[in-house]
Amino acid sequence: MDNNSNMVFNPETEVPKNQDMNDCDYLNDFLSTEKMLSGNYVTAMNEASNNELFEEIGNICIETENAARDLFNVQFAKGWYKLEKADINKINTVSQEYNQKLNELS
Amino acid sequence: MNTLPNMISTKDLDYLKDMLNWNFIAAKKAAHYLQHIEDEDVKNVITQVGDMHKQHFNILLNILNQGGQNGQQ
Repeated sequence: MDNNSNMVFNPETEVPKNQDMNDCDYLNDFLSTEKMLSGNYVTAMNEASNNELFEEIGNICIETENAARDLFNVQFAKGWYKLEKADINKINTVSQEYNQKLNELS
Repeated sequence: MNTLPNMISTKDLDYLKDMLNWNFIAAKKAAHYLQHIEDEDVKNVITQVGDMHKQHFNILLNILNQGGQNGQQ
């Protein structure tokens, strides 16, 4: 894993770069599909009246979320998804802000 | 009638149909993509995902086949 500067990523697996879909594109497309489906299942679950249907959509939704996670993990492992570390000072600023807000809740 | 009867409402049926379609297309798309995917890790994860969609299709179809016993207790 490359930790150069603030970027966190793996070495990129080479794929053909032309108008045809490549492995990176196929993976990306399926990740979009799973993310869309899990969102839609939440709506379907909210609208269900039949109890078995409600329970089953819940299970199906979680499995779909996990599938999206598996696809994302492969995307990251192949170096097709890069992360940037947030600035530590900014993290501390937000942290302080919300620690102060916590006092308002007590 | 105090408790929810075991039935499929018109809205349930509409969503069942939608969800069956989503999984039908997703399973077919996986099979189609697999003919072109070269990387073994990508192939494995898409195979897994395609199987999941087939399984979800079956689960939803079973609920539809039972028809909620149409409100019979």
